[in-house]
Amino acid sequence: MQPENINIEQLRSGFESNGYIAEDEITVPVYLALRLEKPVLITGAPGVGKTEIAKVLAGIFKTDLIRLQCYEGLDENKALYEWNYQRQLIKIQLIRDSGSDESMERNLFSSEYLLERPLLKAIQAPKKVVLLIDEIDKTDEEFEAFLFEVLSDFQVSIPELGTLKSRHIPMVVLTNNGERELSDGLKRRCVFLFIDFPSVEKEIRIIRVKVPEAGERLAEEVALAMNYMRHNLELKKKPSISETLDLTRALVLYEAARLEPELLRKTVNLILKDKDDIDLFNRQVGPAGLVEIVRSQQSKTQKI
Amino acid sequence: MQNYLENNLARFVHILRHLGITVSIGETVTAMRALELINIMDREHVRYTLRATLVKNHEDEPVFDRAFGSFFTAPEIKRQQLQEWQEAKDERGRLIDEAEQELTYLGEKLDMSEEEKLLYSKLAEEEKKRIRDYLESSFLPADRSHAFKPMLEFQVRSSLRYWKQRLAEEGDLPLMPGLDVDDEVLAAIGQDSGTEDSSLLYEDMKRIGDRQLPKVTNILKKLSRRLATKISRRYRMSKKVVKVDLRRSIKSNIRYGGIIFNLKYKQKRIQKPSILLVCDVSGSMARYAAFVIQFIYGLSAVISHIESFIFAEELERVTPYFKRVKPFEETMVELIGKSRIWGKGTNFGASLATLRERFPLLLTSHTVIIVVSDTKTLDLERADHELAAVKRTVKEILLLNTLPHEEWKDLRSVKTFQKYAQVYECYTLAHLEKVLRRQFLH
Repeated sequence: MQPENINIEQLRSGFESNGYIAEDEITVPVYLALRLEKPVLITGAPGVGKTEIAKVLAGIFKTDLIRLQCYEGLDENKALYEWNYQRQLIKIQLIRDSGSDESMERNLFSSEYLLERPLLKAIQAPKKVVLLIDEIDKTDEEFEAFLFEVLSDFQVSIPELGTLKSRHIPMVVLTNNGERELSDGLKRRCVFLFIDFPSVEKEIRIIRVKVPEAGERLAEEVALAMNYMRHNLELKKKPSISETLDLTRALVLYEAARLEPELLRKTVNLILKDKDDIDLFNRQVGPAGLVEIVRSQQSKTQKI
Repeated sequence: MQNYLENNLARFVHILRHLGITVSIGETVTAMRALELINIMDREHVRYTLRATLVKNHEDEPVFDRAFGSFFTAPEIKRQQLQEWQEAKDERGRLIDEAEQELTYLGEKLDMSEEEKLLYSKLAEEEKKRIRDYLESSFLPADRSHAFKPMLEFQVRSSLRYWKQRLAEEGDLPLMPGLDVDDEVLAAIGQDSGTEDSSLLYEDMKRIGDRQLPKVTNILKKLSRRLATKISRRYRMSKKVVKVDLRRSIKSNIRYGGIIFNLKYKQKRIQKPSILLVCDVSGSMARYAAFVIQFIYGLSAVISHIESFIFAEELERVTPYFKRVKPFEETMVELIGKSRIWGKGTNFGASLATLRERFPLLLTSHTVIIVVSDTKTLDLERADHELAAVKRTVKEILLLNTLPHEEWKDLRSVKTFQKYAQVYECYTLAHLEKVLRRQFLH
C-alpha cells in the first residue's frame, strides 16, 4: 500500500489495525494530506493523540518515523545538518605530516563528514518516511520561516555540496499545542486538522482497544466520568485520553470492575495534575459525587 | 451563476471571507484539488475536506460549520433562505420609507442615513412622537428654513445617537432587518448566533455575567499565556547571536594539546522584558472591572515577574494580591474591598507621576507597559507630559482601549495616547485574540 494511491477506506482500516480509533473527521484530512503530498498540521489539547497519528502512519506504510522535537532556540544546525567538525579535525591532523593535498579540502566537505539531522535525513531517505515535527509552536518564528521553505520545496542547499533534492516527498506531520499563533505562511502550506476530546462512545472504544484487560462496565464508567469532568468543571488542564488510559490501567491494577469512590480518591492524581484542579474537583463534585453522577447517567442510557 | 463546482466553491470562499476567515487563492486551489479526491456526494466528507483546506484556526471552525450548513443545503431550504432574506429586505425598505415620511420639516425630508432611519423606526412610539413634535414645533420663516434644516437634522441625529447608546448599554438594541447583508446565505448565518463559547468571544466584556466568569477566566488565561510567550520570544530572537567563544574554547581544549577540538559558543544573556500592567478602575471603567481583574489575574498566572497597578485618581500597586494562590472570586473581593481608589475619577497624569516617583526602578529599557483604559482622563495636558516622560524610559507602551474604534476620532485623549503608545480596540475577548493574532509585538 502506497500513500499516493491509498483510499479513505484503506486508511481507516490501517488506523484501526494500528490501534488508533479514528472517525472520518480525522481520516479525511490525513488522507488528503497524503494524496496532495502536503504536510498535515494537527492541533489540539495535549494528550488527544496528535503525535500518535505520525506513529500510526509509519506503522500503516511500514516505514521509518523521523522525529524532530521542537524547543525554544532550535536552529538549522540541530534540525537540518551540521559538519562533523571533530572528525574533520582528526583528518587534518592525520594527513598533516604527509604533505599538502589539494583534494583534501574537497574531501573534508564531502557527505562523509556531514551529520544529517532529522530534516535532511527525511529528505535524503531512500524511501518515503514519516517526518514528525513535534510541538512546532515551541520554536522561534525565525525557525518556522526556515521550516516552511523546506516544506514547500523539499530541497535544501548546502553551500559546500550544492542543492540536495528529496528522493521521496516525506509524509510530514506537524503538531501544535497552541501555545502561540503560527504564521499564516506555514498554515497555508498545510492541511489542517483539529483533534478534540473524544465523545463518550469513542473513548469507550479507545479504552477497550488500548486496555483490553478493563471490563466493559469499567471502560464505560471511566469514559462517562472523564466526559463529565471535561465539560462541567472549569479545570485548568482537562484530562486527556492518555490520562484516561492511565486511570484505567491503574484501576485494572486494583482489579476494579467498576468505578468506586475510594479508588477514584486514590487515583485522582493520575488525571488531574494541578493542585487547584484537584481542589476544585473535591469542592464541586468529589469522588463520591462523580461516581453517583456516572451511575445516574448510566441508568439513563440503559433506559433509553 | 451556473451550478458548477468551481463556481460554488468560489462563492463559498467569498462568504467565508465576508465572515472574517482569511482564505488565500492557493488554499482555494488546494481545496478544489482535494474535492477531486473524495466522493462529493458525501456531504460530511465535503465538509471535512473544505474545513481542512480552507480553515486554519480552530476558533474559526464554528463559523465555517455555520456557513457550510447554510450554503451547502437542500434546494428547498435555499429557497426558504432566499424568501426570508427577500422578506427582511422588503421589511427594511418599508421601515425606511415610513421613517422618511415621518422625519420631515415643513414637508421636506430630513437628510438622514439609512441606519438612522432604521433606528428611528425601532424606537418606542412615545419617543418617535417626541422627535416628531420637536420637528413640528420648530418653526422659522420660510426664507430662513433652508439654513435652519441642517441644525434640526443635527439635533435629531444627536437624539438618535443617544438612543442607540442607551439601548446598547441596556442590551436592547434592536436587530436591524437585513442591515449590511447583501446575500441570503450571509443573512441566514447572521441569524444563527452560534455556540455559547463562540458568542462569549464577541460579547462586550462589561455585559458578561457572573455565571460565565469561569469560562471567561479560562479563555483569558489561554490568551495571556499566548501573550506571555510572544513577549518572551520576541526579545530572545533579536538578541540571539551564536559566535565561537575563543577564550572558553582554548581553555577547554588544553587537554588536546591546544588543538581546538570542542568548540564553545558565545551566547548573549537572554533579557526577557519586564511587564508592567496598569489598569484603569475609575468610574467610567467600572463595568469592565471583572475584565480588568481577570486580565491581571490571567497574566500573573503565566508570567512570574509581572508588576500590576490599578489607577483612577491615583495609582495603587496590586501585585501582592496576585502573588498568592487564591481563587479569582476571593482576589476580586479582597482587591475591591481594600482599594481606596476603586470607581473614582480618572487622573492618568497624576497616576503616571506617582509611578515615576515611587517606582523608578521598574521603568527600564526592558519594560513593556500594558495599559487597559478607556483613555478618558482629567488634566490631559499632564497625562501627555507624563506619557512622554515614561515613554523615554521604557521599551514600549501598549494601550488596550475599551472604547469602540468609531468613538476614537471624537476624543482628544485617544490622540494623545496614540502619540506614545500602540493603541488597540479591546472590549471583547475576540478583540484581545485579534490583537494577539496580529502579532503586535513584532
